Amino acid sequence: MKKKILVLLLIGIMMGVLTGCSGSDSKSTSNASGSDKKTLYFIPIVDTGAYWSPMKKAAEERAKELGYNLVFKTSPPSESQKNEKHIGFLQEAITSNAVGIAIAPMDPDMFDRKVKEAKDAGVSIVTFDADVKTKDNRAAYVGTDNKLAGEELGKKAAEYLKGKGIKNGKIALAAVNLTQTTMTYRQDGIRKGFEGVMGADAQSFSWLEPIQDNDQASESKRQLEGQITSNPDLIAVFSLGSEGPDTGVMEAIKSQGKAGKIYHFGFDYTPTWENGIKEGLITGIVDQDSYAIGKTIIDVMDKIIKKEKIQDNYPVAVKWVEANQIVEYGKDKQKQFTNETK
Amino acid sequence: MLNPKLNDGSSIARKIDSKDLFLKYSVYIVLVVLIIAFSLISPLFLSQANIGNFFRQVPTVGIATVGITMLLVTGRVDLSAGSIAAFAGTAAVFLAVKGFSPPVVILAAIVIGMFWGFINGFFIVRFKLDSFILTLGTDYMIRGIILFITNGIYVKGVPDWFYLLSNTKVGVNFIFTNTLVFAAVVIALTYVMNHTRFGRYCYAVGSNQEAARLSGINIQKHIIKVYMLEGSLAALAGVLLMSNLNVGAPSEAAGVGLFAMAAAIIGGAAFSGGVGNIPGAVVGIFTLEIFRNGLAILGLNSFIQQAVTGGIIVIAVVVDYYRRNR
Repeated sequence: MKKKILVLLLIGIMMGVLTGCSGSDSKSTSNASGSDKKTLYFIPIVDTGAYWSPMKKAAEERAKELGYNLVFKTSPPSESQKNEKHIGFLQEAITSNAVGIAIAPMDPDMFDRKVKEAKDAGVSIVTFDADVKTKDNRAAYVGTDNKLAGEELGKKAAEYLKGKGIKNGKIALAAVNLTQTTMTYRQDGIRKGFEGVMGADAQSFSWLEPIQDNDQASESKRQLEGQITSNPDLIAVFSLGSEGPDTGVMEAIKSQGKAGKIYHFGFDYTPTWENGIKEGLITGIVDQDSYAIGKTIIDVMDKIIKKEKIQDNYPVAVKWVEANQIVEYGKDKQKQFTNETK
Repeated sequence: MLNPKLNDGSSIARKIDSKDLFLKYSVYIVLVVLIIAFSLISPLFLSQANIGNFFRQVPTVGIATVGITMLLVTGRVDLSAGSIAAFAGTAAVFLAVKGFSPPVVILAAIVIGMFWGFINGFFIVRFKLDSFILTLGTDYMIRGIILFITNGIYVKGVPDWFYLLSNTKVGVNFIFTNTLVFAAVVIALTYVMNHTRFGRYCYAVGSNQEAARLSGINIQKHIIKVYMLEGSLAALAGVLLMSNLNVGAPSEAAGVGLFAMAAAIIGGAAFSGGVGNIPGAVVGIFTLEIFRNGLAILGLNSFIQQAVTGGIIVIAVVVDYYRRNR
């Protein structure tokens, strides 16, 4: 008898739990925010740093103006299961009946299936920073064409070296993560742009093994110091991805006494560049207008929701900024940072 | 004429002796072999420029290794050492940028390190927690807080005096101020571990906690003290690192705790506690850093560098296993 009561009790508890769960499910599917506003999910790779912060600010401001409830979802830079987590955010947005999702997919293949699932569930997807493999599954892409941006940096670097009469030497490259799709596209672009400008002289330049530092400035500094020591004819370095390689490269050039002898070309504005201008540790950068990217993403989503006509691609051009212009350029740029980044 | 049996026996004895000798001094042998091998492969390896690079790069992780060794001897670990270094180092840069004087900045950083060390030690002894899991948690927590405060942006505008903390040449071209600080820390900690009651307590607690308690050692208090000292060393490493990088970088020094632990174990410390010494740990970190330095000089692919360094750690730990079980 006691056993029967116990079994009935357990069944009762299980029913209660299941009812509770289904209740919470239906609650969450009614509206992610619980308000009448339509919900948009915004899933950047991170939301900190000089590139992502203005984008976040722009998206927040624009969503508020247009009357959307914007849900930010991201993870820390050091998150060990970043891809898995961000794919989970996509699922969360679908389950929460979001009307639109903006996502920066870290890998075109990895996010492809889940983006299709979102599309099949009737949720519109806008990709930014990087794209998914199957373009038909997303409504639009907003952001820099990383190959073209890399090409622009490569061209500018080659023109600069040509202007200095340099026709041979070795070239190094440091990046946060060499396997990230945006980084591989940028690398390809840099070489293409460089070789295009250098023409036949391009064969007189050799490219050293690229450095990956996982955003640890001390790591890119250590590895580049080794490359400078073993390659006295090193003439140029590219740094891509974040402040880690930017700082590591500048400090390696400084510690080896090569300021003004090794030319450093960077990607994206950060106030950290100002550390190296006076001493000649940075030559020039190409910068993405991340504030414009953030604003455009929300505008495009708004158009989709209002069933207005949209383009497939919203390219945001990069801007070349020489070292002597970085401080002035940065003054306007820093106004776009969210409060906590100042 | 020699008895053949006796002859066989002495040959076996010689074999055992050479094996013992190899196992006992394996880390030192590996270190010497690495130096010889790299200098033969690349003449630049022993150049003044590269030796300078090495001595400027090693102090940060070296100081952290010294602190971790002390903890391992006590039978504990700290995975949050890198985050403490990043937190204290970035805070030091912030204060330096705000115009605080050098003694205030350095003292504040060390107090921050001691504070986090206290938090680690307190939770471990108060709730009888496993140090590996607890410090994994505090590692995330400390890193998260400093990233939140700075929003992941580097603190810049480092004053000259702060930059010179690590980067001032001392006499010769390849010795820098941070190298001297590292040497001073090694000497001081070697003395502390070998000639003071504090050091003896570390070995006693790490060897047999119950026996140490019965002999009158206040174990809880001692463990908290060890964590505070280790935290302050991590903070010092953080200050020197940020000085070397010329910024306050909240994302720096990730994984330093694990790397330092590997170096300490290569140098003779053991997870089980009660074993290890500071000079051995220094040889351990020198071995790893010389290896990484040599690979960088050879211009090897980043991923291969990582794989080979990991392989060396595995081999060294296996050799250590045989050494302890011979």
